[in-house]
Formats: sequence, structure tokens, C-alpha cells
Amino acid sequence: MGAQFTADDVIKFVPIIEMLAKLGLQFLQNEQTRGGMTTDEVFARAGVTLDANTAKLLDDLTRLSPAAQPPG
Amino acid sequence: MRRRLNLLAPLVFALGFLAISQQGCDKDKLRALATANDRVAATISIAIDLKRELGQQHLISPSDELALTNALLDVNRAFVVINGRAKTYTKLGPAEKIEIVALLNDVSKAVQELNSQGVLHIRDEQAKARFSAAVQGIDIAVQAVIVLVQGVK
Repeated sequence: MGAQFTADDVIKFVPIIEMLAKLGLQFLQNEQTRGGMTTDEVFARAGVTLDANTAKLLDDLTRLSPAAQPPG
Repeated sequence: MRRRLNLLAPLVFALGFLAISQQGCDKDKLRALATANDRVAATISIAIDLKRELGQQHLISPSDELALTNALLDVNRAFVVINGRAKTYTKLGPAEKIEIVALLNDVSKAVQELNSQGVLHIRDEQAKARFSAAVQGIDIAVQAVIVLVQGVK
């Protein structure tokens, strides 16, 4: 017999399913836009995304550093 | 935990199949590497956005978010190096394979750190499950690069 899921189990999985759906959607969007690109352009796009990631993470480091936190 | 893994298994299988199916002609391998890199960059971006969302919703503490930020920065930094080298290649041959495999070790270690230093410290179970799925996405995308490069002869 297979595993039986209760309603609580299903509710617990909703955020995971939501995350997987988001990943899947992003994946499909990337596949569609990449179709007309050259190899160099795909490498360049990956580089632009990685640079944007770095910028976002450095912003977050500044925001989250102990000096930026409100006292108390 | 076993049920959660069961849910992730089809995604792992589907992306694994995609990675294997990319190993076509030699001339396509560089294109496949570019595509795989693009996927890794996109999955890291999704994880960053999710981390911010969880922080704004107070589902993770500022100290947890700081730990995740540092760990994600390490993963992203290691992959910047790979993409920077890979875009200079004119082919994906044995020499390029050796270099990329060595660099991929740094990425794999950084993803492991993201799990051990970041995800495992999140107290809220829902937040942990969501962020764990995002990290799983990064890991799958990195594994796809490993499968692709290891197929080079």
C-alpha cells in the first residue's frame, strides 16, 4: 500500500509545491528566451544574472550587518 | 523527510534527464555548458529573492538571513569564476574539463555549506522547507553542469 497523506501533510507541502512551481516557471521562461541567443549571448546572460546576484547579496550584507540593526 | 524527498524525486529525475540529453554533438557542448551556467545563475537568483521574502515576513531572523546571505555569496562567487572561465573557451575538450571539474569542487563545497550553515539553522519549519527546496534547485542545476562536463571525452 502507498503512503497515506492527511490534510495536515498536504498543507505542509503547499509551500514546497509553491517553490517548485516557481522554479519550474522560471525554468520555462529561461528556456523560451534562450532559444534565439548565440552561445556567447547565453554566457553573457549568465554573467549578468550572476553580477546582479552579487549586487543584491552585497546590499543585503550591508542591510543585515550588526551596525545597521536598530539598537535593542 | 522521506515524503519530502519523494516529492522532489520527479524534479531531480526530470532535470537529470535534461542534463543527460544535452550531451549531444561536440559542437553543442559549449552551448550546453552556457545553458547549464545560465540555469545555475537563475536558481541562485530565485534563492536570493526567497531569502529576502522570508526575512521580510520575519520567518527567519536577521542573523539567519545574514548567514544565508554569506553562504549564497560564496556559492555565487564560486560560480562567477566558472562562468568567467567558461565564456573564454572555444571548445569543451579534456583540458577545459579538468579546469571546470576543479572549479566545480568549490561550488559543491559552497552549496554544502549553504545547507549546513544556513538551511539547518532556520527554526521555522515552513521557511526551512521552502528554502530547502530552493537550495535543492541550485544543487540540481550544479549537478547538471557536473554531469555535462563529466560526459566530455
